[in-house]
Amino acid sequence: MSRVRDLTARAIGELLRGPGLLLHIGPLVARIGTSLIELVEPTRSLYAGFAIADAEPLEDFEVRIERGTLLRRWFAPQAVAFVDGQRAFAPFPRSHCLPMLEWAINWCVFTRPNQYLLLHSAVVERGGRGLLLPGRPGAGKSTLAAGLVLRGWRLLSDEVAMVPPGTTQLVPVPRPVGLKNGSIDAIRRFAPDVVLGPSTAGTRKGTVAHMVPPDDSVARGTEPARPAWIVFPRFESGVATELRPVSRPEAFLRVAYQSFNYSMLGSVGFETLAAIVARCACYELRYHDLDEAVRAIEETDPAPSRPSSGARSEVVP
Amino acid sequence: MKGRADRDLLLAVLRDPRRFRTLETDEWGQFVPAARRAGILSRLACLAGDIDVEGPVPARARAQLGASRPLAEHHARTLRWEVARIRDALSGLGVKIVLLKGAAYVVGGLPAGVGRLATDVDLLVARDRIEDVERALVAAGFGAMKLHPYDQRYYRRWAHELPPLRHARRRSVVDVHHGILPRTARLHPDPAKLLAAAEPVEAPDLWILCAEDLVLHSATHLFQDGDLVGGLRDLVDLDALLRDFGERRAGFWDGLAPRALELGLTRPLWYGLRFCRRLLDTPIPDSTWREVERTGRPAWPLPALMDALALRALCPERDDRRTVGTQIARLALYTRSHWLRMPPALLAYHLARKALRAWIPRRDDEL
Amino acid sequence: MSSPSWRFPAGQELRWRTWDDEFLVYHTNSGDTHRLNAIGAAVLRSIGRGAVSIDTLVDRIAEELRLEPTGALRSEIVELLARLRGLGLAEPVDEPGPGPDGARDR
Repeated sequence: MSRVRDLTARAIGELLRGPGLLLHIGPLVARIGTSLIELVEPTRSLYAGFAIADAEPLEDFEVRIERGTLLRRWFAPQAVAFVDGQRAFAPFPRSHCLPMLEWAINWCVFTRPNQYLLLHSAVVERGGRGLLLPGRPGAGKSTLAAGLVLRGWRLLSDEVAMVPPGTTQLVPVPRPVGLKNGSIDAIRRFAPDVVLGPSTAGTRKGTVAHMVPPDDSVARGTEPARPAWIVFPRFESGVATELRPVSRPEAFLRVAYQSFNYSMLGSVGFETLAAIVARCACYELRYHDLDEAVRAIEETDPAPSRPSSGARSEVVP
Repeated sequence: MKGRADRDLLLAVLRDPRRFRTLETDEWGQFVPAARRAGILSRLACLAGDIDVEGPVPARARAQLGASRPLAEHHARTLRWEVARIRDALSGLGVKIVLLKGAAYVVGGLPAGVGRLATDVDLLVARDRIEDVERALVAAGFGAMKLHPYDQRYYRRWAHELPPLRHARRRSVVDVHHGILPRTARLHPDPAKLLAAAEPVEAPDLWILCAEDLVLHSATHLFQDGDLVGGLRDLVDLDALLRDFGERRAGFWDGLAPRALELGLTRPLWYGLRFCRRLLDTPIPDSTWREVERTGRPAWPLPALMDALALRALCPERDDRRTVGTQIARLALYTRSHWLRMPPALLAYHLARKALRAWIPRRDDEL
Repeated sequence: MSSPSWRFPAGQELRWRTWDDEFLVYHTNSGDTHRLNAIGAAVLRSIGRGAVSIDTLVDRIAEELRLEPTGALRSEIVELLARLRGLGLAEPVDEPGPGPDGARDR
């Protein structure tokens, strides 16, 4: 199986400009294309370890980043994102093309694969035990996930947990990890030799950079994990690190509330999420210092999960 | 692949769903996004479920079809629940409530409701009860979405419906109609006739239009009430209604043209049947078609003109491959849709105000 | 004091998950997920078994949860029933029910 790093920069450029680069991302196949020459090198480095889907050339979605039309091609240059040939999002400054590529791919992963229950959560794994880090953007889940990954944890995803309904499996969908603003510096301090893609300033979310996912995580992209615990990160300036338990109903509702498609899946969604939460020890982690946060997680052994009691279905006629 | 190949593929599968078994891998790569763009992927996925699609269909394509179903199932559940809550809210009033469009198809158990994406509930009630209905819905937690005062006045004075009402907690929307076309439109189907012929679904409280009227409403909605863009979905509805009623209901084909004549909807019926036949191979008896031609065919050059315009609009190309031809077609149809809805003087006023307001920032708050 | 009767509406499906003394209930027909405390769960289960007057409900719950059947408990139960009604999970008995979900058999 060939990977992106096996291709020359020129070959990649031709694919991106032409039919698109077909990549395996976990269980999904993405077709990525662009006519922006400045995207070739970052794509190549961020996706170096990703396998190319040449055996069966069928994608789950296509993302293209193209130059703006007419005037905006040269004057205050803009770029436009297309998903499956349709304009997606408003045009954006051409300099934001890399974050926009990543966000467009994110959008596809969040909204398309509804054969899975999709939770807004980072997922990492160590020693056969999966850790869910659910949270809204800004809660610190990507930063924490990146920190753990840099300490040797496997990355399954930095944004979305994919669960086949009726199972308690976490399906990997490894991608470059998006870091924003202060997180970028925090990660550099945490691991000075981390490999980050280029930084883009001035986006809607501030300054954005991406951490290359470890080769091992990408290579194991077809290997699911079993969740053992759920930790809700709450990054807050200046607080002391505190890991406090959270009740399962509370954890359930918080996760459901942030899910992309919990409502859509009906009772199957309910049962699947309940089974996941039942297996997990649930905590909230307030933190400011990334080092301490990572240590707090590594030093806590998730208790062998007490199964939930009294799961019951009633159909009242 | 050219844009037209997308469309041809889509139409081929719509005409004969067994085509699923023969699509090549690269055709799947064109077909799925095209179907999704047309708003019919989940419907096709549900139909595919009825055909044996194991084997020749790539696993990934099968997964994509499967992934489109939960949303449609969610919409169907939501529609049924909303209808139940609305009926609860209106139960004391003694008003005949006729469900329209998606709600009618789903609650009525019609094939047109399968795999449909729709959550708004459309109702038809007698005009003289509309204030009572509005009041009862508001009491049940629905609120008027805040509109610019001009839009409010437009709705209440000229349109065939109340401004949409949104439920404060559930965020669902109900559209209460007292007619199926605006009062200012060129055609005037009598709502009283529609109400009188409605059939019970869950008597004594819920009704849907009779078979012929469901067909006429669908055709009218598509060809008189909008600009056709993305209307393939509506044409698919119409085709589903025609096939189902044509098969199941004795006398349906014979009654269709006379009913259209009675309601003054011969023109939209002509368009509906013509395009269903041409694009979707809907089996329409020659006798019915001859009658519809006789009563509804528009004067030259409209048939050929509409053919060219409608085909482009119904199956729009991808944004990244849009041709000038399509853009012209869409503009022409947009103009036509307004022309059909309003007399010229009112139209000019309406468009002028819309243009003016596009330049002035406004607050579009919702309750 | 009048004591109207309440019941669980016909044709509704509920799924329960219980953890310690907190209850999550999924209402399939509406797609709503509810979190109930012990009283809420007891009320819902009680009306699910059949129509029951408020007086009986208060006594039953007081006994089940070992509480005093006070006016405060009664008020809480009455308020809860009103809220459940708004959610489609309870209905007063003397009114004609709206029916399950309006779907005709295909």
